[in-house]
Amino acid sequence: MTLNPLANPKGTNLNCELCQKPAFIQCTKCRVTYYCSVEHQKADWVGIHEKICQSLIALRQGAPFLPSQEERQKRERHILMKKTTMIDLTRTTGQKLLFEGRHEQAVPAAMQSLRFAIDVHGLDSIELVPSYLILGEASIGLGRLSQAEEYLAQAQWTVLKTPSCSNAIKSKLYRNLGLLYAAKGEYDDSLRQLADDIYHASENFGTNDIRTSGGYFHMANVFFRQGRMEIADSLYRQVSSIWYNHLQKIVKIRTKTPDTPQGIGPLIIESSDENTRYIFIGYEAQEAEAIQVLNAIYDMQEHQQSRQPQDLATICHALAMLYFILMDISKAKEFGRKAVVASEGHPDDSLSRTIVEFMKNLESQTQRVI
Amino acid sequence: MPTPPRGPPSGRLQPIKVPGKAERDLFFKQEKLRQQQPELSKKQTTRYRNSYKHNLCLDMLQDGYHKSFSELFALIKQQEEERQRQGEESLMWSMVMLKDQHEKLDMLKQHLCKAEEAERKGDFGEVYRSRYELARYFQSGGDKWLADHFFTTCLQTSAQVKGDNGKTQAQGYLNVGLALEEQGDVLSAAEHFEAYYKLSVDHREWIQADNLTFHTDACINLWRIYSSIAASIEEEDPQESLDYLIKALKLATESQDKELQGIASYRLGHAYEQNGDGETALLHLNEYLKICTAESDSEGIGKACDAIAKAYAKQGKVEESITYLKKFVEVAEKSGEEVALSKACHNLGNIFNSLGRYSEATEYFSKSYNLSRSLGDKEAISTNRVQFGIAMAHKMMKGLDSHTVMGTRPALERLIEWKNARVDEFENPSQNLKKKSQNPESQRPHHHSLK
Repeated sequence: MTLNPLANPKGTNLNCELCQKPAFIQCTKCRVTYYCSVEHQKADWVGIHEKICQSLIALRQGAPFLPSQEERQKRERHILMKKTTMIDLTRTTGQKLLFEGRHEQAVPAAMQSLRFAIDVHGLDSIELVPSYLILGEASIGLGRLSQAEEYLAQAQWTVLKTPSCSNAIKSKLYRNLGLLYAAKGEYDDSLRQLADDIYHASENFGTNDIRTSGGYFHMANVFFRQGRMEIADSLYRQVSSIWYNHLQKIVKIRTKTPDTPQGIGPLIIESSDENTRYIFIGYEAQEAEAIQVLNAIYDMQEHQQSRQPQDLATICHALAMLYFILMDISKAKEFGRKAVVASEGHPDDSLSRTIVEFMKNLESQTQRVI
Repeated sequence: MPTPPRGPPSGRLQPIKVPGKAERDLFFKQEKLRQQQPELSKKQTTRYRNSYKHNLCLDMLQDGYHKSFSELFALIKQQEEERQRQGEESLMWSMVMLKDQHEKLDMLKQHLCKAEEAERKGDFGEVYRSRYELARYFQSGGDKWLADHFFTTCLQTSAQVKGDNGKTQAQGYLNVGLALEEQGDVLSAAEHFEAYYKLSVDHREWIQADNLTFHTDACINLWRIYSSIAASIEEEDPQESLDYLIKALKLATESQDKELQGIASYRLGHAYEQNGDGETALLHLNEYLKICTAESDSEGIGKACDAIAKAYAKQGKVEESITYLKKFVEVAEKSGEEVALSKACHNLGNIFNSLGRYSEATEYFSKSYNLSRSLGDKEAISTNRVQFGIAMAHKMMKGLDSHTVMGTRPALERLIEWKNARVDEFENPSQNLKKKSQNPESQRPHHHSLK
């Protein structure tokens, strides 16, 4: 629906959702969002608007007339709660888009989350940092380095001013700074920042957690680009072993079900499936990270001449387990077979044995599903 | 929109104060000073802002030593958890933690990074050396838990060292075994020593720093650990204890160290005796005596004679027992071992006392008493004093009895005299006392105690 800025009531400026310029278009679904052009509307729609369109109506409409103080407070609380859930939703969406490599689309989501966060927490709150970080990362991905630096500097300043800031946020901040420097080609600074990332993540989650592994992965990439292959290999190995152990734990929980009695079997299997899905997916973003990281390492090792067969077997097995958990059985089988091939003729029997066992489990699971 | 204020509200503006000359000089000076200072880089500011441990970790990670980082991090965490677990009242609460001991952290960083570097290149011998050095460093510093950690990782590394037929691994087993022994976990220690022994038994050419072959060293360590296991389970399971002692003896023989062999024999003999197998006990004790004689170890000979004598006494072979005890006294006298001598005399006195040979008993007891007096050993003095008294009394008893039985006047007079002056004259010829024939009863030895 088209608008004419000149026709707006006096004192009302309707601005574009993305660029804050005078708006010419209105979203016909919610009627509370405006855009300067069709391109911006489309970008916002695929980025985030599709998910939040209806929720925005309640948040943006003017307050109805409520006669009692109690009702007014109730409404305020309600809105605050809604905004907080919106922050979470927009952030997760943004993060997921980032892991999938769709930086352009992540920007609207991040902007939206930043707006809500400012609304709820004020301008200089630590709660704003995650949104800044998503924006920063998206900007790095898009190659807008100066803009990224601006966002990250803002985030860093807020973190410095908040001594009680959690390690998880710090770790994310340093990771993004590291990525920024890496993109700029300042590898030493980048390594320093990534080291800080790993340190803080380890403080929070331990050294062998999947949330720490991201730092190792980016560090490995930097060493790789510097040509220090030995170190990069050692780091890639560390990352794949962290993911491998994590995935194996989940698969173990999943494949434990066969020893339940036949009669009530299906029910139990279903519930435990829900359960494990929950353990892993807690964040959709993690799923995307797993796919990105493991595939990257796999590509790297496949093209390397001097690779060790057991590394390739490990990464293939990890990928197979990942696709199995994501219920992509055909891909799981494909990688499983690759893992079997890679582990053949290798002296470490336990690895090839676990792979074969996993393949057997995979067969039985698929049969049950059919 | 609020409009900006137009003009000063109260007439006139205050004139801006121009800084005086002194103030301007100060500003100038400060500005100059600031220009002389170099600008801090980001790294320098973080160095100032972060903790020492934080910076150390960053340095390691920046150079790609992520395994060293994980290990150090885990160690620090482990200590902190231990501290939390022990609670505020414990000694550990007030201890200086590893993360605040900069020198140790530096040491850890240096060697861990060296080890990781070598590991990347596949040089596991170097990895082992670095870790071993760390272990030694912490051992000398008294950080046992760290030393243990590195000894254990040494052992793990040593399995990957190729090309020395397991020499490094043997050393690894030895170190972990020693650490476990110190912790008091003797059974696990024994397992490690056994592995050490197995590796070294075919390689007599491996020699330690002090010219000892690995094999001998393994034997000695195993001997020690078996002996202590045997000692610890002596109460509950004497049979098992015996088995361990037999193993210990076998190893001692293998080590060709006479002294160890002797001690092992002695312990085994002792254990057999405890179990009531006197014959076998004597066999081993005699072996010990033989070794001691060959080594001319007078203390050992004494100990052996003492034990043999005891074993004989238990079997009821008093004469043999006395022979060995006399030998014991002889040896002790020769070597001037007063403690041993006193003990030997005491034992001999005891035997003579129970045999009714009181004069010999008094002789040895007095010897023992005097010796212990000169040694100043209070406990020995009092026991010997009592025993000496008992023996004297026994010795006197015969005469006293006979006099009482005679009942003639001179005899009674003599008794009264003894009562007055306590002079033992009962042994003096007493023809004139004999009016009646002596009662055969009175000649028998008396065993009642005078205590």
